[in-house]
Amino acid sequence: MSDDPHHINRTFDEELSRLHDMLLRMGSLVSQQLDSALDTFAITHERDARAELMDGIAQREKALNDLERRVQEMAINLAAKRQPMASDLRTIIVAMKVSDAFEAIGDHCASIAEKGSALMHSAYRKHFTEIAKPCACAAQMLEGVVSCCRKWDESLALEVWQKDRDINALHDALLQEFSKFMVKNPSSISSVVDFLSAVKYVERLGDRLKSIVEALHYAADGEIFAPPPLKPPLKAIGKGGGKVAINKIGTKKSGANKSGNRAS
Amino acid sequence: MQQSLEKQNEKEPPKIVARGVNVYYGEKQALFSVGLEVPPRRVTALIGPSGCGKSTFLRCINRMNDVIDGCRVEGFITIDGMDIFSLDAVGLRARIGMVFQKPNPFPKSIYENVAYGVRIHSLAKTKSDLDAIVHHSLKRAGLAREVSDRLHDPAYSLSGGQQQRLCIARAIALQPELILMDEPCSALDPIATARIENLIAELSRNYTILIVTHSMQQAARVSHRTVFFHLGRVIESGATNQIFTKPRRKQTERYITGRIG
Repeated sequence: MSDDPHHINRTFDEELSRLHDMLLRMGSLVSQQLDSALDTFAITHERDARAELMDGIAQREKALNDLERRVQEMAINLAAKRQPMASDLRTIIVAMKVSDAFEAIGDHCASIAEKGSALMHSAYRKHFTEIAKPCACAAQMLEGVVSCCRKWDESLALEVWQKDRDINALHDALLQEFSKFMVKNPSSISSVVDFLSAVKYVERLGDRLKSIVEALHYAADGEIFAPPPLKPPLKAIGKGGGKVAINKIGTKKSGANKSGNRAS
Repeated sequence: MQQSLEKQNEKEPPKIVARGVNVYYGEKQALFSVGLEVPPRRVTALIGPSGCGKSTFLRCINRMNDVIDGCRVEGFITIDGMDIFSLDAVGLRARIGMVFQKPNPFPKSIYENVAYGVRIHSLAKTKSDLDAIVHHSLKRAGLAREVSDRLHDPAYSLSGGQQQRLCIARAIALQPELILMDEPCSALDPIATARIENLIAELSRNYTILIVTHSMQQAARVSHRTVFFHLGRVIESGATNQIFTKPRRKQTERYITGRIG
């Protein structure tokens, strides 16, 4: 993560490079996990395709666990053998934190996929594609996080960090709207509870991504991350309690789009 | 407790102040306008690659450079506000203990090694005073228990680490105001090194210690403040925690991460 010239001891450079590559590989796997998790909420799926999707998620989860273990082992070995200082020390400590967060995000994605799969035969299934909104937000955050992991970019990092508030706002809005939905449709309660747990996993995933940005900031800057003045969060609820369109998915303009914010 | 001690020491005037120190060995300039403040009763580590001037600077403090032919020192160095160049060099050196890279006990007994300087400077009035100073100094150097039954054995019968602690005992017997250490552990094994480092930590409660070390890990372990020298100049000085986790200068970062020699 340093732009400095090579270490006099080249093997240290190679080890740090391997550590970095493993983190990028984890970022890429997590990105695929999130896409797949969202796919489980798609309305139509052939049985075979769904099995394949779930199989892929399980394999990537295993790969993520394995990579996390290898990053942790390598970081501990580097700390013991090289006794790193300054940016090297920060890089190694942060690699441990980032790998831990990526692994947890992978777990959250697998949990989202489990919920999506469990809701496959729900009568209310079409409503649950609403999860695409916070997932899209999380995917943008993740893309930014991986980019910052590849090469530190302070302004992108701040943008990514602030995006967690958008996920939180979308989570809160969905919680509110689907609570009302359950009151109107008591038979939906069981399905909606599953759906809302999946949304909660997305919200937690956003928190983890935010923590990665904070860790990367420390690696790059050496200062504990101090939150900047915050932009207003994405408006998930419009005027007059405007609804997140649970019945007309993808057709209603959200407050966020009106205000030119980053929601998709 | 540690923080309040830190603050208290920061409030006190520096023990050593150096301003615009230039040192020349003949035509060759070894130090370039070095400026530094050393806080009292703290350990200050001088780090930097070989030939960067850290030992040269250390030797300016007790004017050991005066005895090197062709060496010229310019600038301003004070200890407790007193200009060291206006003081008698021998008197100055009596106020400053020095420990070298290799243990250099006198070819005398353990007891005599510690007692020698005390006698020369007439710091003990009676034999029992002298015994007390020797015992106290060996105790402070963490050596008393190991040598209590063989005080009159030759100093060379001790191990390298014990000899180095004997040299420290010899230095503190004169009740110095500060102790200069020039790579004091470079000839010692890890256990002896750990003992010396432990001793440095204990001595820093009462003494101002300036240590030159090539081991960054040692500087990080033992010092409160660290000064990085490069090519005869002070590049950066600051709290040790800051220097080793977030140095301000690129050159410092490159040196401590092993990117420049």
